[in-house]
Order: sequence, then structure tokens, then C-alpha cells
Amino acid sequence: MAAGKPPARRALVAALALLATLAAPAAAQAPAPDAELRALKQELVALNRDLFLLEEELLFPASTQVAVYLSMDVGKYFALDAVEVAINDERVAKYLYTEREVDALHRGGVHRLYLGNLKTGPHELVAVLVGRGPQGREYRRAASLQFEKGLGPQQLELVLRDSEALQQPTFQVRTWE
Amino acid sequence: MIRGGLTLLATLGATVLAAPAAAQPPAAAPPVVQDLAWGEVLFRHYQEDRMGALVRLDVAETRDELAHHAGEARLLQGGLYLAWGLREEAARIFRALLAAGAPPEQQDQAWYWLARIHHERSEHDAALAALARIGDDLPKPMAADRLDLESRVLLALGRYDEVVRLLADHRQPGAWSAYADFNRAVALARTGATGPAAELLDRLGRGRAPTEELALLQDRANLALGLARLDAGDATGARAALDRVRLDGPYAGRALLAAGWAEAERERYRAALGPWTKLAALGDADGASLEAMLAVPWAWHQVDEPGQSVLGYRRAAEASEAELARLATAVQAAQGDELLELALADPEEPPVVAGPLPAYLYALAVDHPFRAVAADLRDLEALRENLLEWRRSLGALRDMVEARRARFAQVAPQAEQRLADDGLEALATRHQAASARLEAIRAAGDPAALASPGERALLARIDALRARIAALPAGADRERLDERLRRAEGALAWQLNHEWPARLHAAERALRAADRALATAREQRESLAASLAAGPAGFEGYDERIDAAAARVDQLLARVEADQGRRFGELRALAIEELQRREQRVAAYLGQARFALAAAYDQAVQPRAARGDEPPPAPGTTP
Repeated sequence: MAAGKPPARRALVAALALLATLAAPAAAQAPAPDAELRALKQELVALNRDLFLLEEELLFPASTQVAVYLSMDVGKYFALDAVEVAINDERVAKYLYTEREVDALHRGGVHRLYLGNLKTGPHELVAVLVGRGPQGREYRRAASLQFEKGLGPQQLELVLRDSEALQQPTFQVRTWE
Repeated sequence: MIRGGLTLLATLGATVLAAPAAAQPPAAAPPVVQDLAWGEVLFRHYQEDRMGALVRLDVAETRDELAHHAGEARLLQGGLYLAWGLREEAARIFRALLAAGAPPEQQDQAWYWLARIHHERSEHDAALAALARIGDDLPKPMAADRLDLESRVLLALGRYDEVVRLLADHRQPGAWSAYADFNRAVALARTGATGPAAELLDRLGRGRAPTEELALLQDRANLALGLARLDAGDATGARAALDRVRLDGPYAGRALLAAGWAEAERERYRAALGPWTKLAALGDADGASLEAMLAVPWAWHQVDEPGQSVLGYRRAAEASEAELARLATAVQAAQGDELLELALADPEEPPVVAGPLPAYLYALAVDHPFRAVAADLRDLEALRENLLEWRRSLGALRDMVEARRARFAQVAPQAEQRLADDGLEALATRHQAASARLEAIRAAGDPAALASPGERALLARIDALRARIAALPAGADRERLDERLRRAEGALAWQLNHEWPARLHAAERALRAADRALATAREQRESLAASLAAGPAGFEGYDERIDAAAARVDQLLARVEADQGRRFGELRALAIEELQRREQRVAAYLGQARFALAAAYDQAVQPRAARGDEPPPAPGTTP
């Protein structure tokens, strides 16, 4: 380059072409992995599925299986911190939620917080939710349910909902068929 | 890759929640979840546990647990595969959804995702055709994605006029709006309308960006505008735009370099020293600093400051030599294990390896092949960890099955013996006989049958005494004794009659209790027998399944590790190639600096009149 002259420069088209490689938020995309990695990913999903089924069948057979889930809506009146679950007076689960998990719950996610075994017959579940109320004060809510464990798997859901009428959260336990 | 993945995931969220996280606030209320399994999938998906969500989806499908969310589940599954780079699998899922006659809203979403897959594969005509299949049922929050995709597809096809029309007066929400403006500016510039394009960029580059993503776009707009104005001879305007580029952003180096040239263009060489000196001090790893180090002494020369110029070229030569030494260290590190450590580390976290290598690798452009291979290596490592975890779990499951078998072998004989020896049938027979006897006693109304052992002894004595009295000679004594015996007999009969109802009730109650006890014993026996029968189900057949699974794990692990080795070889070659390219560039800078230094010395020792206007060679820098 001759001295005293500005360096080579590009026109607007070239400048934009240079910079427009990521012209949209969705344009940044995962590169396609090579064929072997793609095959491995698919086979890993299938393997995990089969092992998930095997493990559950072995550890929690349908005849004795009991699962406890938690779901919640937007959490206007209650910010969830933790949940404790007792079955027949024995504590079987205590779970502390991260912000990310609470966000996933707010968006419709359902958390399976306990999976165990129970004999057929009558049982009692007691769940205690710990969190913060509208003024940021600690808040505890409890709910219980008497249920009859049948021959098939038993699914119970702890449901936390905001009640606009009561201006506070409602908490109940429901059974799934 | 990470950033792209997150953006894609945010958009995928929209397919479920009908609210793109990237562009709009979260939905006011979550969707109604009618299948617990679907809720579980969402719980994992929203935590960006892609594989967990895919596995749970597969399990739910196998168990037929998604009766109310089958279509949504397929859309999410396709989207997750797409985000994971499995475009063919994703396309297969979306096509299957369309073939199955999904509801219009889901069909429109499937067409959108197919269009996106075609675009990613550079099949832009097919992408446009898929976009044309989208009807009026695409969820509203996805309209922004669709418009954005359509504009990018048209840009890729070179149909710039259509992009200009498509994005004219667009109402893209939030962050989408800035991207639409940028793309429109690109299209306008391509059609030759550089004035309107520059206006658009100027508007885009002003103000305070609310997010890092938009700040980056703003930097890009300002840099593009600055370069364009510089090219058009508007150095003042160029400097104004270039000064808006953030100094802590990835475009700072190019902006500072161009800002210096904007001043040099106007022969304001001292003003050019400002941005160039700043850039030279940054010491960045992309080479712009070294370019600035050569530009600084060139500017000093222009203002007839040969001393400063010589000093500057000497500094540039020293810096280039130091840079070459750093690059040599980096090449050495790239030949060892440090490279793998760096590749596997989270790119968003601070470097895990000391030395100069991380800085060079982190400075690579987002679309540099190194990043794609490093991302694949991180995926492979995650797969490897998953397989190792299963290998441990399968070992534990095998132990558990063995423990169950051993326990069964220990307790089963005892239980079988208990079943054989419990005498339950004999007891049941006795219970039946007792019931029959009590029934007969009640029917006969015989109170003596329920006499206590003492009373039975008395009755026997009375019978014996009666026989002895009867054997006495007749007379007063015999009558007296007979009378006394009758009185005693009467008293006993009264007592037996008096006690009869209570004794009958007690006997019946005792029989009922025995009946209940027998029923309980029978239940326990049945339960024990059932446990004995079911016991083998807790271990039989599992050995084979666990062994088969373990073999699959081992086989996949071997493939994953082989692929890791292969990809790591590629990564190393890419890294070294890149570092060597830098070495060549820096060596060229060093050559320029030394040559310019020699020329500057020559000129310094010649009388000014003898030098004429011949300056030292200028740096071959470009903004």
C-alpha cells in the first residue's frame, strides 16, 4: 500500500455482507454433527429409554409403585422453596427447588419428587410446602390425603394454585387414575 | 453452539407455550397439563435438559402416556432433535406429524420447522415452499419467527427486493424488530439503495441496547455503517458511527482500527493516534493490536516525528516477536492434553488452562470449524459420562438382583416349611366340629353340656352317690340321703340352667373369634404363598436383560471413545492450523516492522534535503 493513502476499504454492501452472517436471533444454530455422532445420539436416547424402563420395572414394580408429583401455576401469592412429603408418618422426600426448577414449574412442568413402593391398602400422605408469601415472609402450607393403594401404580399430584378469590395460594393433593 | 442452542431452545419453548422467550415476556399462566408424563417432559425441557426430555418423551410414547398431548409431544420431540443437530430425525418427525393429519395449528408449526431445517441445509427453495404451506393457524407468537425466517430465506436466495417489501413497516416485537431492521438494511444495500440502508443502520446503532444480544447487533450496525461511510469518503460520519461501537465488545478492534483510518483520511494523523494507541494497548488475540502497533509509527511519520516513529516500529517489532513466542507456546500446548481440557470446558466459564492458548481459541469466530468440533466433543463427553453412569447403575442393579435371589433362596425353604407345617387345615376341621357340637347342644338345650370342669366332676359324683344310695337297704337313712342328694342335684341343675345363656353366648363368641383367627391365618398363608410364587419375578429374567444392556453400554462406549479420539485429532489439527496461520501473519507484521524500522533509521541519518518525500513503508492494515 502506498504511504499516505488510506487502506483498502469496502463498500456498504461488502461491509454488511461481512457482518450479516448472524442477521437474526434464530440464525445462530447448532451445527450439524457428523453422521457417527448423530447415530450415537439417537442410540443413546433409545438406550436411556430402555434402561429407564428396566430400572423402574425392577425397583418399582407396578403392583407396589407409588409416585408423588408437584405442579404449580404462576406463583403470584407463593414463592416455592421446598417440599416435604411423608407417607404413613414416615418422611419419604424433602426437596429444595432451584430458581430454574421453579421457573420450569411455572411454565407447566411437573416434577416427580418421589417414587417408591407401598403395599396395597389404606395409606396417608402428608405434604408440607415451604416458601415465601406475598410480603416475602416465610409461609408453610400443608395438605393431606387418605388413599387406598390398589393393585396398579398409584400417582398422586400436589397441586399449588393461586386463588384470586382468596388472595392466597391453594394447595391440594389429587389422585390420578 | 451454546448460544445458538439456547436461542433455538427459546424458540422451541414457543411451540409449547406459544410465547417465544426470546422476544416476549413469559406467559401469564402455564398451559393445562393433562398427562403427568407431559408435565415431566416439560419440567426437563425448560431446564434445558435436552436428552432427559427426549428420553422421557420416548418412555411416555412407549407406555402410551401422552393421550392428550400427542401432537405437541411430536412437535417438541422434533424441535429437540433439531436443536441437538439431528436434522434428518427432526424432519422425519415433522413429516410424520403432517402425514398423520395433525390439527391445523400443529401442521402450520410442522411446516415452519421443516422450512427452518431446509434453510439450515441451504435448501432455500424448499424452505420457501415449506413457508408457503403455513396457513392461518400458526400460533401468534411464532409469527415473528416466521417473518424472520422468510426474510433470511429470501436473502439467501438473493431476492432482495422481496425482503425490502416483506420487512417494510414490519411490526416485529421486542428484539425481533432490531434484527428485521438489520436484515432490511442488508437487502436495501444489496439492491443499491445504500442511502436508505445507511439511514436504517444509523437509527439501529443509536440509543442504549437493553440486552447484550442487541448491543452486539448495534455494534455490528455501527461498524458496518462506519466502514461504509469511510468508503464513501465521509470520514466524519464514519468516526461518529465507529465511536458508538463498544470498547469491550468483539468488534472493538476493527472499529478502533477503522476510526484511526477515518482520521488519517482527513490527514488528521495525530487524531488517528488516539484510537490506534488505544487498540495497540488492548493486546487482543485477534491480531488487530499488532496492526495498530504498525499504524501508530506510520502516523508519527506522517506528522514528521521520526523519533516517535522509530520508537513505534521498534515496539511493534518487539511486540511481534513476543507474540511469536506466545504462539509457539500455544502451539506446544495445543499438541498436549491442555487442548482437550479447553475444548471440554464450558466456553462461558473462565479458562481452565493457564498460558496463552485459551485466549487464541476463545478469540475464534463463532462460525470457525474449531468451535463446531469442540461442541461435538462436549456432546461426546456428555454421552460418555451418561454411559459410564449407566455402567455403574447396571452393576448396582445386577448386585440387587443377586441379593434378591440369595435372599429368596434363604427364606423360601423356611416359608415353604411353614406353609407345610402350619396345621391350618386340622384347625379348620376342629373348628367345624366345635361349631357342629355347639349347634347340637343349643338344639338339645342341654345346659350340662356347657358345665365347667368342676361342675362336671360334681355331676359325676352325684351319679356315683345315687348308685351307692340305691344300693343301701331301704329305710329312713336311705331316704334321708336320697333327699339330700336330690337337693344338691337340684342346686347344681339350677346353677347350670342359670349360667346356660351366658355360657352359650360365650361359646358362640369364642367360635366366631376362632373363625376370624382362622381367616387371618388363611390370608397370611395366601400372602406368603403369593410372595413365594412372586419372589422369582423379582430376579428371574433380569440377568439376561442387564447383561444385554451392559453389552450395549460397552459397545456404545467404545464407539463414543473412538469418535472422541477421531474428533480430537481433527480439533488439534484445526487449532494448530489456526495458530500457524497467525504465526505467518505475525511474522509478516514483524517483517514489515523491521523493514519500516530500517527505512526509518536510514531516513533519520540522511539529511532532510536528501530524503525528499519518501516515507517509510506504511503498514498493510485494513479496518
